[in-house]
Amino acid sequence: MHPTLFKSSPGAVMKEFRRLLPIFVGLLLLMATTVKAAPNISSVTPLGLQPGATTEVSLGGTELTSPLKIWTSFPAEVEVLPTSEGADDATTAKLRLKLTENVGVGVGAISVAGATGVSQLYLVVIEDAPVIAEPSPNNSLSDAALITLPAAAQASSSGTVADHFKFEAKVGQVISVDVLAARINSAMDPVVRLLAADGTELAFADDSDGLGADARLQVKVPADGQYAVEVLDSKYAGNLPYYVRIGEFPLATTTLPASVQIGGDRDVSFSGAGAGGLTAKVVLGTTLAGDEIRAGAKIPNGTISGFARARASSGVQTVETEPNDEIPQATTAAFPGGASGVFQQPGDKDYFKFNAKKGQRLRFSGHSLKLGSPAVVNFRILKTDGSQLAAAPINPENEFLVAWSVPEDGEYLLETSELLQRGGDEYAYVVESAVGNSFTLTLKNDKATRNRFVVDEGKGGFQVPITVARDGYAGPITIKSKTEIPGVTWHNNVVAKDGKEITLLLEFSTETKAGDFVNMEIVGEAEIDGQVTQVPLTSRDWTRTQFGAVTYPYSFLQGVVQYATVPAIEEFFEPKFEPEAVYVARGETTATIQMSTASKHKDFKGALSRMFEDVPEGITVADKADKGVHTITVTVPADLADEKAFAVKAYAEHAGHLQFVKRSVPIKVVDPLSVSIKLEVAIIPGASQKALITIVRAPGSTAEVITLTLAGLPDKVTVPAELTIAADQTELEVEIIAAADAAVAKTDGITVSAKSKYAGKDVSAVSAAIAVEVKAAE
Amino acid sequence: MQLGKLRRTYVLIITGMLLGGWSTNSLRAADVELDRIEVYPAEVQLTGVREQAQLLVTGYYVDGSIQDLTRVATITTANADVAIVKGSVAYPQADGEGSLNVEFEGKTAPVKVVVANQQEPQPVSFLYDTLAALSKNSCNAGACHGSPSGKGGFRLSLRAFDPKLDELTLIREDFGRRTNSLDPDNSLLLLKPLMKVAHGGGRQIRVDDPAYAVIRDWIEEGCKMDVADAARPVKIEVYPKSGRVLKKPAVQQQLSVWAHYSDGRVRDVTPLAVYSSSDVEVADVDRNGFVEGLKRGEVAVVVRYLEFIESSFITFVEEVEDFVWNDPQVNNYVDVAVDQKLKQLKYLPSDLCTDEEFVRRVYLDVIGILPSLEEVTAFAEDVDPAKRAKIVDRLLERPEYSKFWALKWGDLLRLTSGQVTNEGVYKYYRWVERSFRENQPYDEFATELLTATGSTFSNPAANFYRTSKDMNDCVETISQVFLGARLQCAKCHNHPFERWTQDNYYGMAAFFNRVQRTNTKRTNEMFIYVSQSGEVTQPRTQQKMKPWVPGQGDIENPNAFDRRLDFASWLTKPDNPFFAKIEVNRIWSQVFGRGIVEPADDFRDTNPPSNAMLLDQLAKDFVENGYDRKAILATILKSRTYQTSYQPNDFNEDDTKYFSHYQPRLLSAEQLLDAICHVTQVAETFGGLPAGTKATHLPAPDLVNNEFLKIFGQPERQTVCACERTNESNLSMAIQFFNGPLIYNKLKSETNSFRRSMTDGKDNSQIITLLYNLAVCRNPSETELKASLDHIASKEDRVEALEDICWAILNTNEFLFQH
Repeated sequence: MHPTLFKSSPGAVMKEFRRLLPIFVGLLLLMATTVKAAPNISSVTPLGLQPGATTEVSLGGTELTSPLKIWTSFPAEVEVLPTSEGADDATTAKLRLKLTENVGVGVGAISVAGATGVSQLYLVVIEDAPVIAEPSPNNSLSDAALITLPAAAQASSSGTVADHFKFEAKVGQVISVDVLAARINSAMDPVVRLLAADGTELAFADDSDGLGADARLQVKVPADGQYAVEVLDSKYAGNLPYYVRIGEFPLATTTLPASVQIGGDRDVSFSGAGAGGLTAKVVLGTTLAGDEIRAGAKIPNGTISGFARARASSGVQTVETEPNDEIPQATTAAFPGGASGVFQQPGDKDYFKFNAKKGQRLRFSGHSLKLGSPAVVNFRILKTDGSQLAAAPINPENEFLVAWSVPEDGEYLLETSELLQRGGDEYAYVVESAVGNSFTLTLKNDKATRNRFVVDEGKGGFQVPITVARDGYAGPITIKSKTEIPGVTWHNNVVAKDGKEITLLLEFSTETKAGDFVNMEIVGEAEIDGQVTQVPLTSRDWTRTQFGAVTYPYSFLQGVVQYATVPAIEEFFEPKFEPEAVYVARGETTATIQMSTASKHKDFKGALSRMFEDVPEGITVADKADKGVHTITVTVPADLADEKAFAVKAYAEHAGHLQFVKRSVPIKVVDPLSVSIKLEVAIIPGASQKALITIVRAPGSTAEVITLTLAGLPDKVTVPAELTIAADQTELEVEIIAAADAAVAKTDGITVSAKSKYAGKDVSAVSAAIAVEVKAAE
Repeated sequence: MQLGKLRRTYVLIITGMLLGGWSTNSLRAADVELDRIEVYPAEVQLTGVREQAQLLVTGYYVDGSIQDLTRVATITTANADVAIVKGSVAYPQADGEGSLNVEFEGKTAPVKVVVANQQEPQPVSFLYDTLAALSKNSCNAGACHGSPSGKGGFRLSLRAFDPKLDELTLIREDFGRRTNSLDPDNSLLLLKPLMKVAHGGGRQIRVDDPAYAVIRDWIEEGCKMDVADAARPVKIEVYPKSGRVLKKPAVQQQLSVWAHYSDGRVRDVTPLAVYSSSDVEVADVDRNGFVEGLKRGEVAVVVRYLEFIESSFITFVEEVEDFVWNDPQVNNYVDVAVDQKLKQLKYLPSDLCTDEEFVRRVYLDVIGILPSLEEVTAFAEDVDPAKRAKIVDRLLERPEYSKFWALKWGDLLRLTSGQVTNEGVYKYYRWVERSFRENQPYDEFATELLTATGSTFSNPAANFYRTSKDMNDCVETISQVFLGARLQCAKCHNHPFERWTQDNYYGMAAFFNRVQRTNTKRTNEMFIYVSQSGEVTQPRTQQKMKPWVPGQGDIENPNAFDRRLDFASWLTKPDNPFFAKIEVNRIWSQVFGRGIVEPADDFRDTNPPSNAMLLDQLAKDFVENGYDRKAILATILKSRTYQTSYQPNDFNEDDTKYFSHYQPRLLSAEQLLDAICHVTQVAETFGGLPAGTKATHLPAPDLVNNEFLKIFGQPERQTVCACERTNESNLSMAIQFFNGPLIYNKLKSETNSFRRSMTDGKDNSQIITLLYNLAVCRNPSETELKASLDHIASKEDRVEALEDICWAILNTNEFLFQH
């Protein structure tokens, strides 16, 4: 508080306090109602995590508020370390990650969840080389600091000045350099050179096919001495992160086979420069078909691995047996399954023969670029005489697909070739084929689509828009979690026959507590050709929009849907009904009510969506929305007499929080119009008297003009010819005039008839009769 | 046809020839003895009633000189019943054999005449006579009825490239009024060009023109089309063959043109051929094929008969008073070839340039920038006689060499971020720059470009097909860059002035039509590949075109995977007549300011090389040395020819073509900016590019927006034409140097060269000397120094005075020009 405040008199203080109070309250309200953004990770240091070791990792970013929960795309034990004493710095966090020995080297992802939501997936490197920080100085060849090989350095580009990683090497050593930038989703486009100490260039690499913007090279050192790896962004951009690996390791691309059959550990060999003849065992564990496999290829006595990639597959895998460049030399393969090979030299063709049954539908897909291979694998299905039956059309993915129905039982050929007729040790591929009809589910490729959510404690949920592509299967598809998630109600999760799009809605029970962080495995399930088939959700195109530098998104980035349960933010909306109940005119069968959104938060301007629940039997509820206003039409039986009710479950999203609000809506049967008349004194001949006519319109009806008619008046007693009650009125004073010669009389049968409209229809009502007396003046 | 009508045709043709005018002057100096005369053809075959033979009579003199005697020799017939002679043309009379006698100054030459088929009809060919006659009279020229929309409602195909269209418009269109076989003389086709009926194009023909007779006879014969299997011309030959040297005053030459037909027949088409001179200042040629030299020099007389084009190269020489060949120093074959031409044309090469001029010149030409003070001094102090050669070799290994020459190729490859994206421009530039740095053989460079596939990022050469956006763009780009031919015209019709036909265009297109371009999932990346199917249809004939290359014709079994491989293979063969010549000429033009063929990328019959032997030898050397660009550049730079002074002498002042002296030229925009920075020692910064980047190292013009560069001719690289880079001076340039912000700011910079010198305690003489050495690589003359010092003394403000002096130096031609 400002010290001068205490120097004033207590009265003045109070006066001042009162003056400032609204401001304080406003600020407090503002603070209370500001919805915080989800956590964001901007750095992970070190980026390289060692298999079989525990690494203490610093996260940089925002909203990294305790308590944090961590998800990794690879098996790891994670411990969140306390932040500095007394501080809860939301911009940093410390973790301890312990990876098992057999975690494959390569790229993985982590995300964190905190009190405000889930972070983006951040790419890390699983690394068996010593990870070092960027040496300093390193902006000139001459004075660059020496590093010891092997090494993996986490660095960032220096704009128009190149970074240098100087090291000593012996003649004959084969030094590999692999710069990861695009592969870790950095916008950097590295250009790398290997220089001798005098600046002589020994090798140069810019974009290496199959690695996007990344570059790698390999050089046999010509003499003992100092060398340097020079790294520069192609466009001289600065402050872009990259990760460079330097050492004696093969520049592996894929395993061979390039798809590895799940169900047990597998021995594989490798493609890539310097990877020929190397083998390794791939531990698959719980790996699922379609998952990314990371594998390390080491030279004999090597200490660090070259990163190889593969995909997990459920089918039998075949690797070409050379020579298989001619039809008679075709390697025997089996489908469903995969056929892997390497286009060893330019113009290389590989042939595989396989048997198939008449009527089988085989869906072939080529895989190479997404595994880091430079090959663009082109393939055809041939008869054994070489005549073509089907060919894969070229598509912008450069990974081709063809579906082919087998014309008759027999032996067929798969011919593969590199589209551009290139070849080399790294030009590996696999062509896989599945059998039968299928479908795919993908996250809708839309700007508004999200895959990480916060779930408000007790009232939250989220929506996931999903696109369906069908390949021969047209029936319904149920979308669900591969493993059941307690307390979650799935709405709108069945894709109808021939349906192509759906927006899944998950509602969490009121029992949901804050503190969970869940990585969902969403699948579509359908019975196809008598078999229950589950297809995982993917998101290749949408993931590209999130990971702009990763041209072929890793499988572990695709189909990911994560949520964290968090303390609920204040309710930000309320459904507003007009009228407050559904009034059904007696004898009618439909009535409407309008529902709109009442914002409870200054920043919430969205519209709500709704579900109808607890609708009584025999009653139907439907609605139409127009500019945020839902007109709900309720249809009831004509003989409905009792008051009923149904529930509207409204939901809306604000600042990433989706909340549900449930409200009960009564259904009431009402008379559309009633009328009464009151005249409390007698009428004197030659004079007039005022009667009061009162009408009652049914609740919720639109106010209409009422036309009135009086009946049963005594002789020579009149009222004005036209009697109406305006739409905004409910009463009318009527002057009843008795003529001078009106006979004294007494009648008890005066009634008022009222006519109007209700819900577009003519309605009428007649009042109860009242007594009127014409009485001579006293 | 009736014989009488035929006879009349002959008469008309003969009359036409005579009206064309004969020169009867004796052109020879009297004191040289005629050794012999020769007549071409030595034997005349006249195998039809329409045949004729243009005789050429050549005199060989004892001094080795040659003279065309066609118009002055006496030609008589010994058998007038068999053949007659009018002027120098023989005509048939009746079947049989006879002889002609040619005589001049007592020398004679007999010519055997064989006449046949005089009793058989020889209808006028629509395709090879009528259309040729229309072409001869320019009826179907682009400016007349050959324009796309015709003229006056009458349209012909340009230079008769579409006979079907011509058949339609001549015979059937306009209710058939254009031709009247019943009354040929009243055909509009004749009445109009005779101006007997109003004709917007004026009088274009006379009744005594040979072409008139051809057209009239064709109409009279019923406007018949040629029979389907009629023999067709396959080539033409022009006599005399190229290489004739005529010495003033005997500088006239009659040409004769012979068409070879598919049935083996050879026919004189001299009266139907069209003639033009490649340089009307050197020689003119009339419609009869008679050439007259006007001044010393070389000329190509281009002869066109329908789509066939041939040239005869003739050199005209004259005596120059007091001219004495002084046997200048010869460094290599370049000098031999240049000297031979100079000696023949009586041009005396200038002396060698000074060392100061040379060091400045060679730095600017090889690496684009001026030498440092230390380099100037070191060169001056080097006493090695081979120091000029040594510095050439050193400069070619400098990193700036590859950057500077990548700039030049960047112009041709349309290397801009607009064309190849912001990512691609750096990669493509690096690829080009590395090619020069590693001295990649030019054939490999071209092959990599022309056969490029894959990602435009990982294989930057593939950007060639990003900038060449479609099949037509490919044909036109590749022909201009690698064949030196501008083929745009041939897309719609046969090239009006060159031998390229529309078929050729689409035949070449058949190499490139299968190139496919697709965007990939990586931002801004394009993927180039070749589809395995797709043919080119010639739009006029609807014919499916086979891949075609000049000199070889159709490729019958093209590479099944990629036809471009066949093209690249043909292009880079050592005997390719275009490939090596285009590149050596381009390199030559870069250092001499003009090509041996000029413009450097415009090789055509009508634009012959100024020194064919030089071009041939450079190309041969280039091929034999494995298309080594550095080596050929070194050869050129080490020649004396390159090292001659820019100062002309009395015997070469008017030479601008034969390289007798160095031709000064304005520095390119980038060179000039770098040079200004060099003199002022105030570097220019180009946003986003490394410090120290020079203008001559810019990957693309659209990466930085530098007004100075634009004003001084930095091209936008929108076309592959070298002509897009201009150094034509203009007012904006003058204003830039007068008070432009770039010069002003550098002169006012607190860290510029003269201010730093002042700070270092240098006196005025030292500073003036420094500025001269920085700008023009020499010390100031005494006059210059004195004038500068006087100026400083006259000013109160020393800095201001030095600003003036520096500004003045920057405004001298010596600084602004490569010289």
